[in-house]
Amino acid sequence: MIENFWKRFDIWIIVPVFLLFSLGLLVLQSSAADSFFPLSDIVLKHCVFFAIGCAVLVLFAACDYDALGRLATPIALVNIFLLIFVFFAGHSAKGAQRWIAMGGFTFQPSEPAKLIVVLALAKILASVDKIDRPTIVSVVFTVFIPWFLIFIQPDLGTSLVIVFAAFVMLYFVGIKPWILLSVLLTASSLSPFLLRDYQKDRLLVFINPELDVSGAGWNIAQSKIAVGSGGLFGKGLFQGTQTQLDFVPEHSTDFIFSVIGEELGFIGCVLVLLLYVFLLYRCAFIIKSSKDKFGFLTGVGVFCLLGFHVFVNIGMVLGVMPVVGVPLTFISSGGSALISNMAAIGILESIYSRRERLFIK
Amino acid sequence: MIGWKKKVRKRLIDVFYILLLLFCILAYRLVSLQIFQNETYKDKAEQQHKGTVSLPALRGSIMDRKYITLANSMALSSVAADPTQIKDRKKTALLLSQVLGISEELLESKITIPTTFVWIERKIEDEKAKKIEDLKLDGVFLLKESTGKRFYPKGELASHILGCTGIDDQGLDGIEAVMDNYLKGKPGEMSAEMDRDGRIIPGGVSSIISAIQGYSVVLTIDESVQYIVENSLEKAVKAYGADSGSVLVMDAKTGEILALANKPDYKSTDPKSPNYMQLTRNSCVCDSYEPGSTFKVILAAAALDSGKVKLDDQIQCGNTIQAGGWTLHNANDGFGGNPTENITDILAYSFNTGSVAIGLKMGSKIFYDYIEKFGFGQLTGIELPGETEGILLPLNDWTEINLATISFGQGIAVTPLQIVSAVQGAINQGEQMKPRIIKQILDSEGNIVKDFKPEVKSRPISSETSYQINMILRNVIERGTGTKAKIPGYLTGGKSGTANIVENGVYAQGKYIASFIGYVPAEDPKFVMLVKIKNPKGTIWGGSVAGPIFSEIGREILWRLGIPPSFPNEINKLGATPQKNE
Repeated sequence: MIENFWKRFDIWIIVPVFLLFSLGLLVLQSSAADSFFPLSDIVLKHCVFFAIGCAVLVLFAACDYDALGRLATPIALVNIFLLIFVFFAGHSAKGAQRWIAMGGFTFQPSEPAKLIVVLALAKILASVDKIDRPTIVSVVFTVFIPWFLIFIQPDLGTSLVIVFAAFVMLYFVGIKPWILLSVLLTASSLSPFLLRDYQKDRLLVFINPELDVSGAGWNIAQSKIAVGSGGLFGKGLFQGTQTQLDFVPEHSTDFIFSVIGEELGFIGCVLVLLLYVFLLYRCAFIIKSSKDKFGFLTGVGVFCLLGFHVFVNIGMVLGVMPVVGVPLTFISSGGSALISNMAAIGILESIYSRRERLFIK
Repeated sequence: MIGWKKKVRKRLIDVFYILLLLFCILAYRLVSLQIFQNETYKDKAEQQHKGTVSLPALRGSIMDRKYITLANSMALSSVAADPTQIKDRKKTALLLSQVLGISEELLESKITIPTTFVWIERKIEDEKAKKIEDLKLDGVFLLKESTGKRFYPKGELASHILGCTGIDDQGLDGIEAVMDNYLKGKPGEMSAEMDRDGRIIPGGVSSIISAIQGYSVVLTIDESVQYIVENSLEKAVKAYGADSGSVLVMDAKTGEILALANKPDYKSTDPKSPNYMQLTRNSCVCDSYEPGSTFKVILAAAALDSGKVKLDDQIQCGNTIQAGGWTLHNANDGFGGNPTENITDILAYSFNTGSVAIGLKMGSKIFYDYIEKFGFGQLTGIELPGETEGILLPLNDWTEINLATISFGQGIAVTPLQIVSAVQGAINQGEQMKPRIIKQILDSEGNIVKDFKPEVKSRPISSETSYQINMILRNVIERGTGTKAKIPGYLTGGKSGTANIVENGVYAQGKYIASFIGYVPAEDPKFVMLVKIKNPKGTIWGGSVAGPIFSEIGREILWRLGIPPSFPNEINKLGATPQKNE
């Protein structure tokens, strides 16, 4: 049984995860300290979370993902409860209420929420052949409630990821793209009424970066300087002036890619991009080999979560996307995101190991 | 199931390609930022974290000839705050107000401004700065100012000489302005790597250009003489109910100015005081006046030196004289003249008629040449701002009446400095020295950068003439109009003067300038001093108003400088002995 399990385990999706994580450790250490030793708290914490993440990955890989499907509804309810709980008892930082304090750590329910929404939505969509009215109602509730709770935290980045994943999944079950697009456009036109001032500022600055270089435009202007000054080979670990000297804010979380750009240069950046592309390629490969609709849709959801995060995060650092504040998968510090992402990889492994025998023999 | 899968497989590939396309956008962006625009962003990064800090250069001191400090600057700190980092505004305001003595409300309003930098108080004393440092308040910090604060340890003493400075320690008037280039120094610059808050990162200093501290200026002024002069002058101006008064003391051998004062004056430290413009005028160099009879010294020097008049020549005198169709009179000061007098008595009793006769005898050309040789109508070049050359009519415009009036010091305007300088030349064996107020320039370690040596400016008369003038001027004190200027125990020479004040181009009725110019000890002059009192009430005569002031100030200066008396017995009779403190 165990032997069988490892045979069916896809090692190729694990390789980029480990490489990205290792690269992330170097960059995190550089962002938090000025030499390799002593290891900074951020790095030690990240290692601990990664160890937990590995255990979670193996656990999810070992479980039949059908079981997750059966548990999708109760898990979704717990998820909503936690998101409401964070609203009342949460710990706020930087103007947003996203964290629940647990012992010495803080837990961010919106991170697993993304995965849970994907699972719950996949379950609903997989169980019907045709999209009828009751299905639409349950889809709306499954996606909208967690989305809304996250949106009002406020956490624009995460709420956009959920919308993106949900829409792509709906596209796969046959909803016409023009319907999805018109819903998106309607929602966007409402955004002036829904967004906080700082979020609007960030969008305006994205449209015109010269608008406010010292205020809302600071982050982008600074991260572009950091990345641009890195050049082909970078300034070397611990040598980045812009990130080391705090010109780039949040350089161990959302703006970690600016450290890669400045210290490891174009070569380092392209290496990271290629690792992500390979990870997503492997992800698509697993989706293709899934044995049922639930597995397929879950895989698509996970694919979207990963792809969206990586593109939006790097795009934000490079100034091609607005600043919406999403972490860089497997690299940014932050335990909740890392463990959730490892769980997502675990689910993909579970889907892969239970793939159609037809293709194997 | 299989059918559904076939349909979606194509979609999956589409989605993957779209994703690849998005990643290509990122890659393109990377190429653009890191390869093509690398240099631009490198420069931007450099600019941002390479900063320069100005290293303060303290303004130099101004000292008297004995290196007593008259003005100096101290490096001071200023308190600033980053309101965003202040946690407890009330408490911070309270603690700061206790140290600074500023109201809590004002402080609280300052640290509530939504900014990251605000001045709390600039240039505070070191003691207060220390206290604030000890409080260790979050968001409150001290900055060393690149310029210091100017202090005048002797208060208002010599304020007309020193002038004043502005808030950034720049010279605005007096020596502070004239010598600003020496005094101000040159701030240094330190280039360093800084973080976004402008803190220098450890090991980040890349270059230092040291500040050049300001040079110190040593004046020829003697602080103790200056003090005596100012003190007596202030009392005298009050006692005579005069509009103002000036005293100028010059070293008789070197031309160095030992004291210069105008009363009333202004506080060096407060440019906002009322009548500031008027009070800041240094009358000794900036204002000219008609010298009156003191100018007869120049007349006599010219007449004797040119050989047109001999000491024992009898000159037409009497009570009136005709010149250019006008009848000129003697001053109504109680001295009646004989029909003829010799030049010694004409000066001793200050006969205008005799003086006019001397002038007429000499002629315009000769007199004008001597006036010019003595430096009238020209700037002396003293290192003080706003000097005027006075008024000397060009020779071509002289008519007989001009020659006549100028002979007794009307119709010509001179500055106190010009007349003092001229008399210095007349009694110093004919050697007129360049008037100076700067003695040395020192660097911040006290090494001499520049040493100003006495300089002969001109030799208007021969030493024989000078000796004759000296004898004539002793007579003025011994038995003439200057008896009240006599300094007991010392042989003194001098000349009084009383002249009308010109206001709006005409002589003001009943307003006079009473002056006395003299030197002491006459056998070997140490200093020349002019006392000038504008519009005294009651008696108006130079000998009676300015003479006693000359005597009082002169006596104190002689004692202070420890100059031995010419007749020690005379002093012993008075029961006083000179103070020797050198």
